[in-house]
Amino acid sequence: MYQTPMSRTIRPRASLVRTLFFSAGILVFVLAPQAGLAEQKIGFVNPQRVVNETRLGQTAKADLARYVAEKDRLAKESAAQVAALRKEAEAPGLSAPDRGRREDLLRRKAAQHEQLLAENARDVKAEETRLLQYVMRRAEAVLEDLGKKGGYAIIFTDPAAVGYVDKASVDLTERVAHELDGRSK
Amino acid sequence: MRTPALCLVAGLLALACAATGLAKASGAGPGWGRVVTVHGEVPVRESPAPDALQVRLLKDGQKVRVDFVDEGWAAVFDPQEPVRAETRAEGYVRLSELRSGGDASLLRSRTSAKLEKSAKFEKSGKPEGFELAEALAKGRKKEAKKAQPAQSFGEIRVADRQMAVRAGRDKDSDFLRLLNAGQRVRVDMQADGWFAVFAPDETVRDLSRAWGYGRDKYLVPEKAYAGHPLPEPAEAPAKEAPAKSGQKPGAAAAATAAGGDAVSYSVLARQVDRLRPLAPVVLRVRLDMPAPPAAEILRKVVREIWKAERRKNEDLQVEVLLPGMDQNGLAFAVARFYEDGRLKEFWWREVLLRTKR
Repeated sequence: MYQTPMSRTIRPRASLVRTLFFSAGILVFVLAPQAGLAEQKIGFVNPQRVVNETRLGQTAKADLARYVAEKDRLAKESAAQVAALRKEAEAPGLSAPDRGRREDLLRRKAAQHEQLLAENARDVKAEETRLLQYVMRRAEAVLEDLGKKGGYAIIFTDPAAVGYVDKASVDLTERVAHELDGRSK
Repeated sequence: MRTPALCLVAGLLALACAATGLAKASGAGPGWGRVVTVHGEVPVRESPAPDALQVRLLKDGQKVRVDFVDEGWAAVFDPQEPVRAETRAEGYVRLSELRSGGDASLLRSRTSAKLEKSAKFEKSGKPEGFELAEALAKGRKKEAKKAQPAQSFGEIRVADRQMAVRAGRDKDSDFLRLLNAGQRVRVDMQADGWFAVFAPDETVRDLSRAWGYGRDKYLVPEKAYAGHPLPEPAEAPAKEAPAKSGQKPGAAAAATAAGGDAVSYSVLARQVDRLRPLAPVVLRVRLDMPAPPAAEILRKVVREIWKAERRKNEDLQVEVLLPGMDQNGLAFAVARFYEDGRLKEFWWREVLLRTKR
């Protein structure tokens, strides 16, 4: 069973985020001007904060919540049908063939319901990935520009890979978030 | 010779000016709906439902134009909005929350909306707004009578198994057509264990328009039916399709349910997954409008597109893009349908609107 919209938030999965930002980091490294190489500037961006602190990320979260609500609605409808069929199958005074027929109907509907729940969970995960990718691709473009203009040789995006960050000089998260907001409506 | 002609022209000009002045003086503005001053704060929702997303809040003293009143809800517009089209609505408000004191006018508006709604069931090739205007202009009682809402007679039932529709209330009478399990029909005139069976969208309670007769015990209320809904008879959607675009871009127009307003769209792609035969066929279309309409309108638009573009009994998923959006990127809205055309799932991605196009 997937999480309800209330409890669900977009959390960039480490592998996906790493892939997206690692490619951006490499690009920055390759494209960085020679002067930048001499300075060896290094930056850090926290992708989770980029999602949480930008309008684009917030809108993507709202979109996902709406999507989950739509899936919940379908699941509730299906659950109600199963409950109604169960009630019918358990009604007293049914003849044996009639009860058998209703139980068979109930079994089939219950199996459909389980399948629906599994599909919903899979669909929600897929939509979450799509929305996250959409936000991250835009953040990646910002990161690339920032890297080029600021002369950064490399920008880390994995908090786990960084032991210490001097937030004042190295953490570019706020700048990326600000720039991303500036580029969105 | 010249003087009388000049006088005539001057007279006509004076008349035209007077007419314009009168129109302005009457406060008609764009000439539709009703301008209402809001009392207190009133939430505007994206669709006419209390649990729909709130898209804005009307402030005390703010003026809005309202129209398309239906079941206690009204579409709200900018007071200066010149075009009466539901697609241009800012959203929907509950009339009881509006508390404008202009109920008489709202009532008129409601009547107009009802008439308009019913006019669309007439199924002529004309746009709905045109039909309404025609009906109102002629003022014919006959037309008004004919234009009853679809729910005005009988009820919608579902065949709980494959069953025959026959020429009479008798199992030995001629076979006319087969109903599939899950197929929706309109039924009425129950007698001797048989219903008269009509097309679900039939508006006229007339036996000559019935498909035939079906056993009542096999036609169950929609809520009681547990299986999946199945397709309508093939001819029904074909009649309702406003236009066929095929795959030619920019060819079609999908009529919305409001104001005879048509939204044109172009088909970008029809994607069939040959490796997964059960996967839906994905139809990507681009709407010819710069900003998306309210969700409720968009729902109507995608249904019309589905009706117009669906081939045979295919499972068609409609994906909607707006101008400037990447043809191969995420769609703004996605709609999936039951086989009878009812919306099964519908969602949209506002995040795409946040990006400059």
